[in-house]
Amino acid sequence: MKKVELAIVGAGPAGIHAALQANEAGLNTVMVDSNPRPGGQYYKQLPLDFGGKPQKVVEQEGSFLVGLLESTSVEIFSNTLVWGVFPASRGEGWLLNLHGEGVPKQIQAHSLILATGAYDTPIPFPGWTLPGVMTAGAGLISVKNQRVMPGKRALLTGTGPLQLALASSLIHAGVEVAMVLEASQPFPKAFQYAPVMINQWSRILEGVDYGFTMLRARVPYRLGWAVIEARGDGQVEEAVIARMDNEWHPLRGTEQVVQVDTIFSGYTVKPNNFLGRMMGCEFRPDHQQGGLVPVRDEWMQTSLPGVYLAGDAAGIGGAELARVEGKVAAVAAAVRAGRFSEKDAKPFSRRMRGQLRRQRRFAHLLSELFTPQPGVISLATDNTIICRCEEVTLGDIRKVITEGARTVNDIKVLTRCGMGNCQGRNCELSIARILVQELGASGLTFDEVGVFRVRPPLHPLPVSVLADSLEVEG
Amino acid sequence: MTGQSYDFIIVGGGLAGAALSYYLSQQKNRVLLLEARNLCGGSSGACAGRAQIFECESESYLDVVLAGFSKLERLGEELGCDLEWVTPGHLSLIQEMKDWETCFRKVSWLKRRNIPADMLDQGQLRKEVSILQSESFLGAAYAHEGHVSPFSLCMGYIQAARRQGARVMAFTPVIGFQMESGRITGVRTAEDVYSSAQVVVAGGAWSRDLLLLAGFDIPLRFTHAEAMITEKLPPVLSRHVGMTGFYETVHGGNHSVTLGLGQHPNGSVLISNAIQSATVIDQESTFWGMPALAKALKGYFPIFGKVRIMRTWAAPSPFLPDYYPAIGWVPGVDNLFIAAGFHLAVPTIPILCADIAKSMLVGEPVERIVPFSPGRFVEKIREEAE
Amino acid sequence: MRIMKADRALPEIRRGAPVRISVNGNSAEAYPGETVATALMAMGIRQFRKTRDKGEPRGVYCGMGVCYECLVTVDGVENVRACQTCVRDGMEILTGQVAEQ
Repeated sequence: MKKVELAIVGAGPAGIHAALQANEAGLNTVMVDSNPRPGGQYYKQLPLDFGGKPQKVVEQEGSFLVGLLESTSVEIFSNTLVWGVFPASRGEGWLLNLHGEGVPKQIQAHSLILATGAYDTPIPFPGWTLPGVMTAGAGLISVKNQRVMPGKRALLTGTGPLQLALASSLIHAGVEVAMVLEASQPFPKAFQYAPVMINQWSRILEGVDYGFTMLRARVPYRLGWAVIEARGDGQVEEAVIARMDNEWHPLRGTEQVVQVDTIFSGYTVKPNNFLGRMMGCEFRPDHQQGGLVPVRDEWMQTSLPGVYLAGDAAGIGGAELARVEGKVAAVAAAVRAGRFSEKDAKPFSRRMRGQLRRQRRFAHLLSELFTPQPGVISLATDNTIICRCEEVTLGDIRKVITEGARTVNDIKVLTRCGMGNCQGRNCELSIARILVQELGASGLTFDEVGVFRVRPPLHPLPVSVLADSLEVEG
Repeated sequence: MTGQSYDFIIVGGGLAGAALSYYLSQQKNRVLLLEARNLCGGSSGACAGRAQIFECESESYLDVVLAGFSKLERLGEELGCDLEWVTPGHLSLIQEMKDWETCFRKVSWLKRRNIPADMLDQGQLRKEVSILQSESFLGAAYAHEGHVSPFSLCMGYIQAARRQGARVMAFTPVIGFQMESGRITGVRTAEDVYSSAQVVVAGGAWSRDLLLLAGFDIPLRFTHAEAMITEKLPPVLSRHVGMTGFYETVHGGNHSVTLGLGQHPNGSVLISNAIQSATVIDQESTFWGMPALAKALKGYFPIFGKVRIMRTWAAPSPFLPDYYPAIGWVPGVDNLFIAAGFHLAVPTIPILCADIAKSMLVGEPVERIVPFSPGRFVEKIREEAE
Repeated sequence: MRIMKADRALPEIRRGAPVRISVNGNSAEAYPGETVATALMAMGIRQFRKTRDKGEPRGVYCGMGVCYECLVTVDGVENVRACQTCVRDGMEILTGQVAEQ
């Protein structure tokens, strides 16, 4: 059995910087990532077969970091899934069950850094399952990474600066962008955060660049609007948009119809925390952060000794915060492995604390301005699919609530929400919102509705993969 | 809000507690059910939903099971809910001659009671279950069997209880009992105290710890059992299929796999059991359990190799030393009733819990539950001491 | 449609020699590095499957392997995520199947 000092799961900003730091500390490290190349979403690398050189700042940065990573002695298992993690015997760390070509079926790691990132927040509305409705993330991947037009005429709905980046990329690609809708009304609230923005020059410049692209293409940008319905026969043919109030309820009577064949839903991202939850790390409820945040100490260590959680998976904070957290976690792992003492690590820790504080302030700003309000669930009607995998509608869920369901798990066992292919990743938050919408008047709060229990396998896997997964203990 | 008082307090929100809340609240009694975690979240939520008949070890218990089975058939209508009741029947696969004889005897018990049952030879088995590698089997015993959704059953009972005025509180662990002059008068939770004329513990595997709070150590043990479920498949299995010796290993095995599988009407196949001995209750899947179960499945049913597993789970499987339930007033403790360790839980809970409710209301145990009195353990302990 | 233009926001790429794939029995071309989802979108196919119970059309939603909506049959294996599978020479893809899940 392959034994390492550190295993890092996830090769985005947090994972890459953790790996570089761990390598510097001389830790015997393995990195496991489910994508074909390191980079995660933020530093997503162009397919090797596409040739091409990165030109924009973020892309050059990503390319440089990935190149640096690949030149270290960190062993990288790409296209590989961690599907189960179990305590190793005699307190020797963790057994990771892996599924991938040409990789061991099990490895043992003394410490573990979970850097599993985030994914687009699924927001249900009538017609959202139609082909042609996709997330902002899917839009960026299609255009920038895969160089394919996802449609001809698009409308963007959602919240946050990522929509501007997508709009800009679409315009450059030749997709007609009919409008960009921002559901929130960030001004005048945004002005109180001006001091925080002062340190974020590169981000401001990026935003200005996107703004100019949109201006030149004459793309309308509306604040306080959203798509409330997607319509079409077999795929998107038109979008119904409407004004939203401050709690994100659509205002009846303000509806307009826009002819588009593609709708991008970009309602920020939510932490991809299934692996940490599966392992039994302690989490506490945080509705703004998509449901849960892990309990961590100042070294990113979770409630499980030797298990660290860094980056967006621990709460949305962006790439810079992920960088710092990844480094801190790696140093903690190095201290745990005896590479340096806690005393030696203190100067590093002091430096990082300042950076963490600054980045968390910026993350907090974005979250205050651009987090979807709970009222967004009111976009869904009785016929709207909530659990896409099992085709369960809001009406189905409301029925079991009248029959006594009070928690996310009650809904799961009575409707099959969360029992499909995505294992609840895409309906859990919506179900929580529905419960509070229906029962909030009688006192039910987000903290009380619970979450799904996450169990191995982390993704559905064939019986033969599970059957063959036991290695001989060596 | 202290000082709330009830006629009955039920500790435990699994199938037994839910059923009791319904039967006890029927005569306008004030009932409170307290569940430590989520309703139907323990072993009840991990079970296959089988209303088994064949696995009875004695004819007297068979009669209890059959009484419960016929109650179950009409229960959905009574509770006003859809229990997803179906009757796929069960095939007990036989590998050894001694098992053949045991099965033959059980089949004749069923035939005597006009319950559909029969013995199948290897050829007949192969026709019934074409996806099975049947070479290593002598044949099988077929018996009538039902299936419900355990969640619908639990929630159905609870909703009906609520309609009858019962109060149900989840995420409310009981941390102690209230006593007055040596008599149990209620329970304590972290936030509150509830008083009651009678208290019943229906906490499944957790019942032992609960009873220790009242000073009685009941010999309730449990194994750690793991199961998994596949993606939805076209119909491949019309009956539930299991290896003989299922309950022997569930209650005694260590690192053993006794394969049982059944296809749900929606197409998923539920596969159990990988068993390990346990002294601590946990509901974690283990690195040994899932692969072992998958390996056994693939060995006997090769077509499952490419089939995807959607999720796995684990739960304690509680039992008493003689494998029968513990039902009755707890000896040496004034005014505490225990109802736990239900064997073949799904078919027996409807009838036994109705009996328990009647016993508690009348003050005298209904005859059917007398053999399950926890007093039988005290006698045994006394015998061993002498 | 594939994006052929390039500018400072979309730097120039050089797709390699195309590979031959078959989509629903029809021969098609795709480029190494592309996912099955990309190859299908480039052909104008956005409906990848119909759901099991209600027969509703589904296609790419999240693009990153989390939602399991973009399921197609690849080389006889059902329920494969198109966005997570790279094209290979000789690959046989079937869409519009009623997925089992």
